[in-house]
Amino acid sequence: MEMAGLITWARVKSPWLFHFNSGSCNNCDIELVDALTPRFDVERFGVLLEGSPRHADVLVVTGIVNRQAAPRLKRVYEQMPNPKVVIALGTCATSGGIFAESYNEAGPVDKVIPVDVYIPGCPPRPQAIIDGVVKALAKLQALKSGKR
Amino acid sequence: MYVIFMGFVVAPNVGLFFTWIHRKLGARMQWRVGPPIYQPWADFVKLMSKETLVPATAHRTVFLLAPPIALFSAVLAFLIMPFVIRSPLEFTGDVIVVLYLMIMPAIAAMIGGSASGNPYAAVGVQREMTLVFSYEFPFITAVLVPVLKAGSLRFADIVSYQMERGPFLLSVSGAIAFAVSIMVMQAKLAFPPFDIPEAKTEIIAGPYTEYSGASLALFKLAHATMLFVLPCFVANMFLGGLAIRFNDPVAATIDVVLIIVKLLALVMVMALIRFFYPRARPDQAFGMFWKAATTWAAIALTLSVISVMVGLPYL
Repeated sequence: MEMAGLITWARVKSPWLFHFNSGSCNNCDIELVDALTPRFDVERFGVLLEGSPRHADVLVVTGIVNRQAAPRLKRVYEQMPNPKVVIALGTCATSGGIFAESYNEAGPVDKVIPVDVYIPGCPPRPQAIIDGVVKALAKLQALKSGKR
Repeated sequence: MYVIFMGFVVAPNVGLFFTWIHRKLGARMQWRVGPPIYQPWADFVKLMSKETLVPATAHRTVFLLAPPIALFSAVLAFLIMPFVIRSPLEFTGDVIVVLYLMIMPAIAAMIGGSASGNPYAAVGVQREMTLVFSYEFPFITAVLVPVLKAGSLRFADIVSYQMERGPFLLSVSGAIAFAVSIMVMQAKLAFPPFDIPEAKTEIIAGPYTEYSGASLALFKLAHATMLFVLPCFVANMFLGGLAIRFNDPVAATIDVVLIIVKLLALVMVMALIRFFYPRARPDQAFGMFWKAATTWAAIALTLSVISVMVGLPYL
């Protein structure tokens, strides 16, 4: 296997998640943690939940991104090393949901940072979240190193 | 050639294999399947290929130098110890040097963490420092037991003494000192119940919070290498060493099996402790070392002094 192929393989086999709550009702957060339980055992695919954005490859954003959270979300996104992908998790993060066009909304997520994968649902099932991570991996595979 | 091969090929790769054993055992204990065998290598290659960010608040040189220091000290500690054959780098007093080299990864984490300028890293560094101060004293006291019994500060002498008269684990003082060493190994690798410096749910990743890409990969590799170095050290000190008697094919086969059994047993004991216990509070952990571990190590040392003076090898 040549070097570039090896690196792509390693990236796809070891996606580390960082979870950012930008004003979610906690429902999507609970489902994300559900998806990481032994029942689904995503460590089989190398998925780990990391505490620091510096260690992560995949940024999972939940919530509508309110005005307070928007600059923080931007900073967390900029703190992540390249290459990285962003997943918008839940109806609020993809479109604003029932909070769309409310006075404190700065989002949805794709208004603040570029989003690669959308997972709708209120909340999405763990199976849907795992499916979304797999789609993010396909995106990661297509990325060249250095590019976003 | 031997040095390059053993230090930079065997030690990190066996260490990564041991981290896989840990993750797999933890997964099986939680009734899941766990990661495939290539997982630690995939993680390492991925981290190496990622961008390395240096925070604006960090001292650039110190921040980037800390991970290689950690890795090279771990590799050097392994090279000085006898493994299969006597080390070409051995000298009188190498036990002391290895003791110092095995603290170096923790010190490198402290230096790098404080150079990163992150408040979480600062808390992690304080915790790491207090932990190092509390476990080093009982550890050195426990290591003095085989040193006293063999009457030498040289690995080769300690191992050959044990090959003649049986491992130190089979004596009372040796068994106590071995138990103290197991406890210290857990703290040196920051595994539960002593994962206080990098407690994920409290201080993100402690000293490693700001590390990304290749420098994080080197820290992870240093940690994996230490997961191989520490069992080697304890096996050399208490379990009769990791030597092979090449002159006799039957004995050599038995020795190869024994090496694998000793190392895997130590790694599995560490994994069991790691996945059965929750994180101790800092004051609880420091109390465990300063009160319980230091007392037991002192008892073991006293017994070993008596055994050497009176001539009772089993004491």
